[in-house]
Amino acid sequence: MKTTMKAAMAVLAGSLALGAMADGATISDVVVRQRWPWSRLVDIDYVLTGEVGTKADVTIKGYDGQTALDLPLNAFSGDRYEVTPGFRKLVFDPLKTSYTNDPMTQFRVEISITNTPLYMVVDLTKPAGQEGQIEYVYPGDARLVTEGRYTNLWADVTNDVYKTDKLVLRHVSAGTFMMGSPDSELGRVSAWENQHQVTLTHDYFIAIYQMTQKQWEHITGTAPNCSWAGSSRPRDSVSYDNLRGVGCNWWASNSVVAAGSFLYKLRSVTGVDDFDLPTDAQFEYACRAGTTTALNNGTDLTNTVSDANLNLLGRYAGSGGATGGTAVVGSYLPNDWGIYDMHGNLWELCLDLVTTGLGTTPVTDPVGAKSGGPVTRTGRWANDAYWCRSACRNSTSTSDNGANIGFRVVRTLR
Amino acid sequence: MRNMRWAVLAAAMTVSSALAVSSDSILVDGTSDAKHWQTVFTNEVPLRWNWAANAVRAELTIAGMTGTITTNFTQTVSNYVWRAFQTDVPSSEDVYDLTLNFFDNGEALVEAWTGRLAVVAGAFNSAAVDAVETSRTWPKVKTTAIIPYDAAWAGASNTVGPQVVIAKAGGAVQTNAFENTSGYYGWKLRNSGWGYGTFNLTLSFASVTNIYEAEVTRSLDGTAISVK
Repeated sequence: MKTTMKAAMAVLAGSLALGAMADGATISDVVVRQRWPWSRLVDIDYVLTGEVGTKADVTIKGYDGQTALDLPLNAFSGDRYEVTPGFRKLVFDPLKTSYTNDPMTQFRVEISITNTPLYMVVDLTKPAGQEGQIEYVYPGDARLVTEGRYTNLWADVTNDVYKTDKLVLRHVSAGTFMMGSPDSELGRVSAWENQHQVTLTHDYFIAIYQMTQKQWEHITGTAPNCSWAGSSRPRDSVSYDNLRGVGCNWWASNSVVAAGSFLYKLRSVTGVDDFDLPTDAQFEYACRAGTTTALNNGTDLTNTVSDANLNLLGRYAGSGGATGGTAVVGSYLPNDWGIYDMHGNLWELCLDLVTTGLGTTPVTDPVGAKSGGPVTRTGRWANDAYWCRSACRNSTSTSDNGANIGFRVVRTLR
Repeated sequence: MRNMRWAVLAAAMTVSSALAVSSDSILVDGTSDAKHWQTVFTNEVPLRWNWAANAVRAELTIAGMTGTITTNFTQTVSNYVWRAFQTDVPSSEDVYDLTLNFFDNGEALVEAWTGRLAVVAGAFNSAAVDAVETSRTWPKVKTTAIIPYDAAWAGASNTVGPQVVIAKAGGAVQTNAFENTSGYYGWKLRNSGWGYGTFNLTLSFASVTNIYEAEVTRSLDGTAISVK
């Protein structure tokens, strides 16, 4: 146990200066201490000061003396997201870093309050923790444009690098919406789409694209065998079991996935422990992006088979899917939140096991059934238009790895 | 006895503008947000209290591992600046028990308040973090040691009764039970009869089965032996 202290460092000064960025909230009273002699974990206490109702995300930078450390996200847990004023705690696990060869004699952290980022970008070519491996794009970034129905849309994200070497996720704020479809909706499958109020209590990031084949290759080290080959096409022919591991459904294992599964590898290579599939409700909330219509550009279907509005939004039989199969991700218009391909292309796997009838009672953070197969959402390349509506739900078995199935990932901020 | 209503007021650091200070008063009365003991962020610690009714004098005792100071107040005062250490940053960590006794004109005790303060390295600039499995420094103890405990580590939401048991191999056993569910224990080794050797430490909580064990060594040459 080292008890001799070195020269004063600007530990908190940085925190205070950066903290002032977020609506007057500040961070102070940072205390770092390893749990000697009990464990190698490090407690990091801090105080967030702000007005009642303040919620802030914090970022943590670690240093040994003046040397900046590459610390993967999964080395930290605790009060990082949606933090409210008061005494707060983080736990740092140094064993999840590459700094296990020499003691850090002057470990310190800078905790700063961040404006809520709009995008999270993971460079899949870089190892976890490396400088620039994870980038956040904030409001005001020169790359964002506001035009027409879009606000702060990152238009250049359709460049191929963001479909292959990088994984881009959009921030979605917690909120309440009406899940399901009204009785009047054309093409409605009534037994599956009871309209009811859903509240999601946690912000999350959701991938703006379905997982592509090249991204899959970066993450797993193996090029996938897909029915519709193409590096920027979505990874098809994948099952829930492939993604989470056999028996590792949400009810059985919660957030735990099996070693060797895709999500296990994704978490390992990115250092982000909370990547998972979207829940049924998270998917629809992100798909709708505030709309209440059948399609996420604010329109309803005019025809259940082929629809002019859907032609702009996604791949289905009527927009070329019947002969061409899946489309390169991002080939169609995004929704208002900048999320692509939420209609069609591939049925997207959700975390929940399916409950057919959703009822009409308001629910918070719904969790689906305890057994059965996973929910899939919003149609595929060969479907008629009505299968691709925002409210459309389906299900499959956990082992189904057919050419109709794909997925995207989310990172729920808890 | 009841908790002393100390207010540790923020004081500007005198050393460097780069150092930050606590920006809010910290009330040490058990209702603070702080889960640990009150942590000192400055070497000058303004203490504040309400003078007890009928008291004609008060006695403030601040007891740390390396010494105790006692200050008498013979007239009504409600604050006192305690210089916790002389340098700009502390040269060693320590924990302090504070006691403020109020007496009436018959020398009867009319109020007795207590508080606890911690001076830890990581509140001032940086702290040592050792993630080396074969570290030679990790299992060592010297003359004093600050041992943290926190019921939250045990993974239970209602964990009570933390205690640290120190057992010297072939020697004395000391059980230290704590009222707080989290905080620090100041283990004074020098001039306390512990001597040198191997010590087995156990942290346990009354309501859960999780326990933490460690083995540390105090030796004349500081050679580490092992840790588990």
